[in-house]
Amino acid sequence: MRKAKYKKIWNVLLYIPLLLLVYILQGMVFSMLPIFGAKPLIIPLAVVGIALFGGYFRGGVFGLFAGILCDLSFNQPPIQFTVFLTIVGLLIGLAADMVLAKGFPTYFLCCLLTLLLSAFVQSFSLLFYYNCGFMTCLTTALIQAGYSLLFSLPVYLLSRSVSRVRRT
Amino acid sequence: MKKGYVKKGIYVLLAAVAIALISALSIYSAGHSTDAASDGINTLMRPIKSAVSAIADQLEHVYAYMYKYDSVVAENEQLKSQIAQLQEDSREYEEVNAENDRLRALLDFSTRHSDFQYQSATILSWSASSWSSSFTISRGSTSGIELDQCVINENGYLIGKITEVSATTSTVTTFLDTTSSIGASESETGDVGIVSGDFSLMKNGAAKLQYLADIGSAVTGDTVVTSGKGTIYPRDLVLGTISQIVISESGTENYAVVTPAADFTSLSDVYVITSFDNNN
Repeated sequence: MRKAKYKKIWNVLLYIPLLLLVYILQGMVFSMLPIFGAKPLIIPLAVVGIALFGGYFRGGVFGLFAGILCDLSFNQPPIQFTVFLTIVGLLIGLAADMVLAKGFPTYFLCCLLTLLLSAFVQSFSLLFYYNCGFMTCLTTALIQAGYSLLFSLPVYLLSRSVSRVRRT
Repeated sequence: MKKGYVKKGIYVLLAAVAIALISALSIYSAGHSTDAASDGINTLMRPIKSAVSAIADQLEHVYAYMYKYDSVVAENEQLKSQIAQLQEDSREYEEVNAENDRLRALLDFSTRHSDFQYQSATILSWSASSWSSSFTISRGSTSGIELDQCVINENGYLIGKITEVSATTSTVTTFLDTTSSIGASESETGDVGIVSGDFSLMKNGAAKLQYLADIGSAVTGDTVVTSGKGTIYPRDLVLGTISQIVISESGTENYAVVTPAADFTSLSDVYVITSFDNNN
């Protein structure tokens, strides 16, 4: 009983370096390497991975922490992505607990959906308040999603490895 | 059998003594010059001597190489470490030189604007967002940084303004950001307008100069400076130069594209103007 509890705690602790790693990559490494003005979003990919393999509760909790880190990396107060990624973690975790398969294609599609929604959240004020062109925003959103998806396989493998530590 | 061997040995010995005697006699009679027998022997021995000499030379080279190899390796190592040291010195020199240039430029700028008070800061990280242009600096409220203070580089070119302050860090939003809007004027004509961020231009590292009274008088290459209207930005801080003039068909959307004077891609240190006097 106690052993199982320690394993659970150990497994949860392993998600922390995973989140820190993606935070460093997103906020300090790839923020200096934009492609056509777009920078990749890697933290949401980790949230999708954690929710898919860890389930509803872990998805929500780590979505919250990941959201705070994401907002920090954008130099903005922890509001927008803190809420958004918590919801993403909860919903994907719930879907994973109920219907979703845990293979890479499912993960990839969840990431694509999350990235497109992230881009919409980010561009919301530009579209509706600063009257930026829709096509300009859409182009940036697509480049950002494409750039971010390059990291989907490594993040998927890392998330899966962490989730497997729990089972053994 | 044994007797035969001894006999043959005696004959050979006699022959050798005979040859030696003949040689000695002939040398004596010829007055110490070489005799015919020696000549013959020398002729026969010459190729062998040459071969032996060549082999000896080669061996000498090998010996010298073996003997000096250790000292050559040691010398090579020493030279390598010297090269590494020189490269490090060169890097340090370049860094010091760049810092010197920055400080010299800042000194020049401060002599022209004696009313300015600065706080230097290092850029910690750029925003990871594709939708904004901002960065975090290493100074916060404990260093006297406040909201809306303007930020320049060492040449006095405007970078942006402080939009968020914590105790030890602050966020600077550049004037290329879509939320930015600054009163500006063309230094050549004195025409006043507004430099504001535009999302599509921001990605190319440029901003928009709008609402000029006479867009026709604007020329590419003209310098755009802050107008000093309001309390945030001091007057005459260089924003950049006009790189393109866009005139719409309706005439209502005319603007000039402003390329920043500061190189945003190579920024490492910035200066926050903590106080200034626009009347000076």
